[in-house]
Amino acid sequence: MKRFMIFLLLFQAVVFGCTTGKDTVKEETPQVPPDEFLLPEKYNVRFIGYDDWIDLPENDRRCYYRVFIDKADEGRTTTGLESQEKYFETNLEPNRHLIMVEKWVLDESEGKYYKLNNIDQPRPNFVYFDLPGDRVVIITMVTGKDLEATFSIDLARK
Amino acid sequence: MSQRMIKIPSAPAILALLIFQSLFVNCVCSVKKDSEVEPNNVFSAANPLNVGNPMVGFIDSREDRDFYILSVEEPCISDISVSGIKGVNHSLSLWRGGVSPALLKTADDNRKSSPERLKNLYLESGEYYIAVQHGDRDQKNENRETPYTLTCETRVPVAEEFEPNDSLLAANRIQLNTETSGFFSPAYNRLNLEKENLYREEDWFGFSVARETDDPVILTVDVSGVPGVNSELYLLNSGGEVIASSDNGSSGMPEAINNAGIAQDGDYFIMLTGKGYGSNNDEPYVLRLATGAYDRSNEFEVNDSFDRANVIHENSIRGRIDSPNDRDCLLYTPVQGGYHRIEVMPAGLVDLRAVVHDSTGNMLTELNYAGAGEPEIFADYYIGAPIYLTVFSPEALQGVDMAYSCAITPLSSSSAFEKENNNSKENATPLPQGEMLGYISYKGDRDFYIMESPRKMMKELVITGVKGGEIKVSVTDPLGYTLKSVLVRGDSRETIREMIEGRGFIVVDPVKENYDHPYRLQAGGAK
Repeated sequence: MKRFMIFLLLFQAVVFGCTTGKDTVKEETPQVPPDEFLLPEKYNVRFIGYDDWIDLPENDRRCYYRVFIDKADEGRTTTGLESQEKYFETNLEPNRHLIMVEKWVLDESEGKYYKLNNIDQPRPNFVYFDLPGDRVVIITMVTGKDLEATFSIDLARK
Repeated sequence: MSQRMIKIPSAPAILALLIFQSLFVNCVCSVKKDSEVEPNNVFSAANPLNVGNPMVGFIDSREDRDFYILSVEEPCISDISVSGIKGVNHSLSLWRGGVSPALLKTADDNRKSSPERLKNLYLESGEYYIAVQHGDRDQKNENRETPYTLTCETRVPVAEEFEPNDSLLAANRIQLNTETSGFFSPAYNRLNLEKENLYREEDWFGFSVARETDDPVILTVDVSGVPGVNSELYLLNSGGEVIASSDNGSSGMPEAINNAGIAQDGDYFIMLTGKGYGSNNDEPYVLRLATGAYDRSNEFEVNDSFDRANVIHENSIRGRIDSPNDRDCLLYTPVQGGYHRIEVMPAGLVDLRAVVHDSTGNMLTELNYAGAGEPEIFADYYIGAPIYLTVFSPEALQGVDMAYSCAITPLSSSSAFEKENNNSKENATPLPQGEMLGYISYKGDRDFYIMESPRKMMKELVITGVKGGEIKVSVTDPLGYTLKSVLVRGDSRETIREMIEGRGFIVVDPVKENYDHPYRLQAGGAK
């Protein structure tokens, strides 16, 4: 019994170990059996970004995020309104990775997208995450009215 | 030896001798002047007028009319003039004689105190009446002190106009490949009562065309410049319809109708006139009518409408813009549908324009991007059916070489070609995998291409720029908004990698135009 309790405590310590990043990052412990996780096919990392505070069309600009992984330009999300989910997918090696984003917004009068000034970028605009093997990591960035961004990291489930 | 005495004549004898000599010399050296004998106010009382003998007369009342009768033995060209009378506006008229004299010509060009003249009147054998009377231009005044002098000179006609030749029916017959001289005289034809051209003096010439083959006869008609006269030149068919005209020059400048193609046998006419009643009694014009061999590589007039368009043989044709109103319609039929390079090149500093129409007359495109002296080029125009190309120059200038050449050349390449007009998203050329050639077809040309994929995927686009030019290539989102742009200088190579979300556009904008060389787009999936 005593050994069992010690093992349980150790197990909990491993599972509920130190967290990384700022307080805005929420990392959930998978409480489901391993065969419930989605196995990687075309991608093993998916980034989703959107704003959650927009309620008027005039505030909802067409945009996308340019995605940098490990400080390398890996491409961009899909385009869409700020209030819409915009996706980016890629395949990475299992490791710890850094994802940074830049928000680009459409200037309709010019007919082209331009990068927002640094002071108008979401804060923070980056998060570190661990990519285990045989898992699909979903990183969601939700930006509020004050440009404060909240990152959540999940493993994709079936 | 005896001395001979020389007897010196007496003074009276000497005086008589001098007087006799004076009279003798005077009679021999001066022309004998006849004097009118009144009344000569009607034909039947006309005074005889002798050729070469001046006639002196007076307009001695407000109703005075002086008739003179001239007898002509041999056909001749006459020059009849009457000197000015101080304070009197008079006119000069010629009548054909007979039981009912017919008025042939009248000169009342000038105001009072001025002379009048009738040039190049053709007189056949017979009698003619000449009348000196008041004109219509001023109040009728008499002058019993100042006489007029009426003179009639004649000569044998040589290659010249025969007045009166004031209408199509009275046209002088001339031969092809000849020169004819004439005068813009008088200024007014008082017998021309046409509302549109009241009193306009016209010289008409007629000739016949009989072709030896089915090819058209190519005519060139030109008239020399005459000081003080701004001439107009017309070529007409037997129905009086204007085939071609020339009114390019200013006063004193020549006029010419070049390369007029006559495709039907028959009678044709040339009409000359001076604008604004210009005249010159002293300086003749020279009218030349020449034929040239039909050359399929040259345009010929009149080709100012689609039904008269000249066919472009062997991909090229030469032409001339004769005036700001000249339109050269050219018909091109492709051997097979495909992309063609259209070039219209001026020989001189003329600003040409060209418009392309389809066979039903719908305008397809216009070439008007280059300046004066520069060629108009459409580097890669798709021609799948016969087209009309109309060349003109609204700013055609006097003294500028207006010749041009036009070439429509099929393009051959193993690569795909852009399809103009692809200057908007709606008309974007599909960009498949592989190589696509495109041209800066005209100044400011924008080329849109569309890339499509069933799902979003990364695409790689390799761009080879325009040799001697510069382009900006942009990739857009599905709505056509620019995501990324790259500048490509000369024929250097640049690569763009971008995600296409189902579809995206590639837009090529010219930064520095070069119409001779293409750019290349090579699209593929990104690695």
